[in-house]
Amino acid sequence: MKSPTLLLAMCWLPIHVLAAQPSLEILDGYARQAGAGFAGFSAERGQRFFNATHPSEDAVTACASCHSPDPTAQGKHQRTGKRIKPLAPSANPERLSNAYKVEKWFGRNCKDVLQRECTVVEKGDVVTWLLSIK
Amino acid sequence: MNGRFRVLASTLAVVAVSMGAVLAVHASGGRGEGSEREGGEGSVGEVEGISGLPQGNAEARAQLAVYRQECGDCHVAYPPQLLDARLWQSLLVKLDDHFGDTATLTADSLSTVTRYLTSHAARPGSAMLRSGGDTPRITRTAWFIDEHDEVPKAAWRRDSVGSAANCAACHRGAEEGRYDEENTRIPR
Repeated sequence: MKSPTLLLAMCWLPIHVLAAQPSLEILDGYARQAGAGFAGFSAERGQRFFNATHPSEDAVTACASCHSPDPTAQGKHQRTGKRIKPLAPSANPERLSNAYKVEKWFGRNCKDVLQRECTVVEKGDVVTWLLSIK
Repeated sequence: MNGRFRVLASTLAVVAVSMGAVLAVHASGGRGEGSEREGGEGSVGEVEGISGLPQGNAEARAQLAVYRQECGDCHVAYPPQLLDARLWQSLLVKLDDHFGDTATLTADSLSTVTRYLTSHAARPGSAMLRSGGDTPRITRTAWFIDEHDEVPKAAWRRDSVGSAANCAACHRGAEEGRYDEENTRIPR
């Protein structure tokens, strides 16, 4: 081994780059908030949650109602008809890059679909699922 | 040669300064891009083709950016001149139930958006309010219904349109607050 320092530096750099990704920071934040007994996020659970319908007098009964069950596809606002850009970062790189926006939309949309705030685990699951989509 | 040049130069200078003065007076009379001109009452030429969201100075531009970010995702950022300040206020105090949706803002954003909308809102006597607007729902105001009276009823329900609230479906410049007839087409 020529230089253990160099090798260490080579490992350190990509870790730093990864940690700097805003979407992972957001996920990290949710994980920390989840507290004791937290068993980890699940993309599969996130997808199920996203598609689950909730009885309501409204047209918006599921996240997928506006965002489409396929997050790489364009969505459509159920009331106004306005087109919504895809949710998956693989289809729309802006997504999940701004913690303020992520929290804002969870805040508004969970109230609309679920009539309550989403739990930290629900949010983390959805983010995990969106990040897993190619 | 020298003398003539000096005369020419001073003449040009006088012309330039007077043109500058005229332009300055003209510009200060307006309220920025896209807003109605003061004192206009019911003139079709002003109301037609709203041309841009007001952003006449740095403050307005900064406020507009917040307005678009916070209010321009579910629907287009509607031009402030479509409602009067009172009607905008009535909307902004109940964003937790915004025509059936949750549209709550942080205190900071709410304050900025309120300032932007109310300071560029329709003034009393403006053509937007000519039938005594009493609804904050822009698409149900007498002005809106009038402007769109040639649109076939069935067109509103087309999948490509979605709803009357979806201005951008037909108005290609709606994201920038432009509604000129030239760039308006009802999709199939």
